[in-house]
Amino acid sequence: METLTAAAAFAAMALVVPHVLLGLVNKTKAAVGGRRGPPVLQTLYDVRKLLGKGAVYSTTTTWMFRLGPVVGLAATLAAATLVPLGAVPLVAFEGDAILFAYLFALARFVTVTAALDTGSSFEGMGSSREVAFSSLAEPALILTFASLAHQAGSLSLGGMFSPPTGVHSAASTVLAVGSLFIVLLAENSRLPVDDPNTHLELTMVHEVMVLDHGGPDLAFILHGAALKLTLMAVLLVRLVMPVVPGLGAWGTAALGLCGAAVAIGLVESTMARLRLVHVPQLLVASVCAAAFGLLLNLR
Amino acid sequence: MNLLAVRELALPWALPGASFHVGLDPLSACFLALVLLVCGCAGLYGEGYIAASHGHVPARPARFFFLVLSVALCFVVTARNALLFLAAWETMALAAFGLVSSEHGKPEVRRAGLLYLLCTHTGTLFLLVLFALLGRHAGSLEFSDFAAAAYSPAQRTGLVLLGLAGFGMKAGVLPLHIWLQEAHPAAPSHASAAMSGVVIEMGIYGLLRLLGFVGPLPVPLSLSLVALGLATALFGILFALAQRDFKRLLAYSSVENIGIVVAALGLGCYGASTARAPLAVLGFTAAVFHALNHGLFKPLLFLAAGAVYQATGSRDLDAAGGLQARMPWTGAFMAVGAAAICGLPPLNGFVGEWLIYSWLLRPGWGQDLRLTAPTASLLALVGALTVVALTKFYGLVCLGQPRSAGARDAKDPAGVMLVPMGVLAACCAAVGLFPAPVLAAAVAAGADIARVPLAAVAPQAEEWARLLGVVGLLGAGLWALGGALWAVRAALLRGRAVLPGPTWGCGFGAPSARMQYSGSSYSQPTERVFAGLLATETDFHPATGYWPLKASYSSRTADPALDRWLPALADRFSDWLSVPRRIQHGRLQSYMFYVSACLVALLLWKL
Repeated sequence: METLTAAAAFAAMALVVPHVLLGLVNKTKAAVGGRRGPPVLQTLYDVRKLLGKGAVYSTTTTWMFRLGPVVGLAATLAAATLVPLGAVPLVAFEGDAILFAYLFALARFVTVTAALDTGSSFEGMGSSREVAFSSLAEPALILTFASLAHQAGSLSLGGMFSPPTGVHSAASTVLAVGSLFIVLLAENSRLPVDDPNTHLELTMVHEVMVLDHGGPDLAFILHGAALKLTLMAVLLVRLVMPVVPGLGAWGTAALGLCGAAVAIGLVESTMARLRLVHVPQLLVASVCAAAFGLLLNLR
Repeated sequence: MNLLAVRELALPWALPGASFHVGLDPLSACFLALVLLVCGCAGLYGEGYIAASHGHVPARPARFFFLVLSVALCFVVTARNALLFLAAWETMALAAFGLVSSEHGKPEVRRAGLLYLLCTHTGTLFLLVLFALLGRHAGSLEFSDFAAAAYSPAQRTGLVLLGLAGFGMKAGVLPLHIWLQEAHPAAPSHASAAMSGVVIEMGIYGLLRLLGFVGPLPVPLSLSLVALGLATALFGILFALAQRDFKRLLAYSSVENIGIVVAALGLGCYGASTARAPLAVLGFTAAVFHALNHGLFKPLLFLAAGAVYQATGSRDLDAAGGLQARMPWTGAFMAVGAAAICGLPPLNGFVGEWLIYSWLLRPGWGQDLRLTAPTASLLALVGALTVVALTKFYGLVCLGQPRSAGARDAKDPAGVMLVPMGVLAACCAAVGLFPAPVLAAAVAAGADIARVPLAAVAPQAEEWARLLGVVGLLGAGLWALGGALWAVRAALLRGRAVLPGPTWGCGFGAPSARMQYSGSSYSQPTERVFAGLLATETDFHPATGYWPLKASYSSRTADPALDRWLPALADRFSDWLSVPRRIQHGRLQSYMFYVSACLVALLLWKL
């Protein structure tokens, strides 16, 4: 029975939840902007529509270009098996946090190589920014993991991100949450690092890398991106939200994800995109936050 | 038959203090297996490379030196007597010099060869002193006696510092790496592969062997080793991503990997210093594992780079491009090597990284957060920068459109060059999926170095094997998932319109290959963040006036150790030496007087 529940939860998290989360982010942005906004499941409809299409491939590209979306989604799905949504993750072992971080690196590697395969300067530009920013986000993520693993006494995501028993206000947790939130925004190309809505190639990071993808490939990419955002949001939620009495683990997770979506939506509605040269400063700030959190752990 | 059992062969040798004593223990076995695999692959590839070089690489000397190098390497890892070791070490160094200088018609090759020769002999000088001291202390030149002797903490520090100078020169530890980025591009590619995959790893082997002799180090020295390793890794990868010559890029990436190995080795030393057997063994195991990994993917990348160099006639990243379509096999193997060196699952690089991160982040062994957290975050930075450097390498060389006529007409090399690359790529994938056998060998070697009986860490070793088994399984799952999604994609596209078209040019209709992103522009955002460390010199003439005729921009990132620190040091040194130089003036009579005076003095002293 438990296995069945876990499998059902995994399927839901892997297939539907990411789009609901994105839908809520978009609804929040629309509400703040005084608009009605697209339906909550709009991105899911987009993915379904794309899955039904054919494709156009640039004559410059090779199999690397076709491999990118497939491996990117496979890596993100594999990372999803390690993340505890309600109660326990599908797969857990001591050290899975490292695998989690490296699976995202794999997804980034294939996305970047697929983008470079087109020979387009725009996509080269996007890749170059993507790898530059993630080279600063990675230390922040690992530092946060170090701090959490030390607190939890375990290097498994399930243990490190176990829900707090009460409302947690320990400064180290606050700093870890802050650092993770910045990493979440940067890694998922949200504002203030990258604007997911912009249509000007020169200003984009993630979107510009997938300019040449279409059809099922683009569907894989969009779904993978939504899933990645969800996974990191789940971790963040588990770090801050105690189990709400009466809601249970699942209800708490759902409520927390809604909260995360609103938070992301509010950030996106109230902030402008940073100038590119200032993004590294933001990421270094997130490393510093993680480092301070760690210092508090040293007591 | 237990493959890890110790086997020895000792024959008398007429030299005083020497014996022809070879043996095979787990540490030797790990590195011997690597030597045989890499030299076998590189040698086979070399045949094709020499044949395809149209006389640029002289066949007979290259073959001779390569075989001598291979045999010498086998003796370096199995020697059990200091004199035999030094003889093998020196033979290895000289054979490698012969290989580096293969194309000695070119001045830059001669310069690189000479630099290598100077460096390796400086290193050997330190090793002579090291083994002389060890021999005096132990009373013989046998390795078993070195290991049996007891050393005071001061002696340990002194010996390891000497070893670090001698072996570190070979391995390429900061700031002794100066020969690597010059010699690797100069050597024919099969020689670069052997040098990067095994010759520089001999420095690591020597250090590990030495640590096995002297026992636990003082804590500050262990921590300094970690810091030195991290500094080397960060330096190596930063300079790798600033390079334009792709073999230089790979050489700097070797410096980075050696740095990671040294950091892991320092972590092992720290575990031994603080008498925590599991930490000591895990650190050394991770060092051996990562060294073996590097011995698989770096030769693979050098072999692929050599094939590209031969096919396109240039080592310039900005002259390559589009080779994935023109050299499909070489490109595919290069992609595997690049992903493996970035430590991405499900390949072998990830397993080594996982072991190091487990040491650092896994609670319960009493690690100090003040050591582990900065180390882990620096390693994460290095890992992420590796992705920048290697996507630059693979992306610029293989993807996009060809940027030169040479790249446009490139073709895959002959099968004799492709098969060795395939073997190494398959090894990278296999170790990623089934890490257990390599882990068992590395743990046995790690326990030997830490001087801990294997049984004492058996529970931990079993646990690591079990966890890595899960990692391997998940890796297999990742392959399967990727395959399934590929099938889904193929099924979806079946029967639908799949059309060719141009790359989206933002509305511009006539893009050319020269408009692609260049290597320098690709790494610019990253280099900008670390500009203070790189100290790149730029030469910028902007377009001025209303009708600008010409504008230019060029940048060069010089190696600080070779181009700045070493000349300054050498100047200082030659100033000092000007004093004793007064007695060296070229008058033969005076020299003969010195000799006879010396002899008389010696006679008087001994009478």
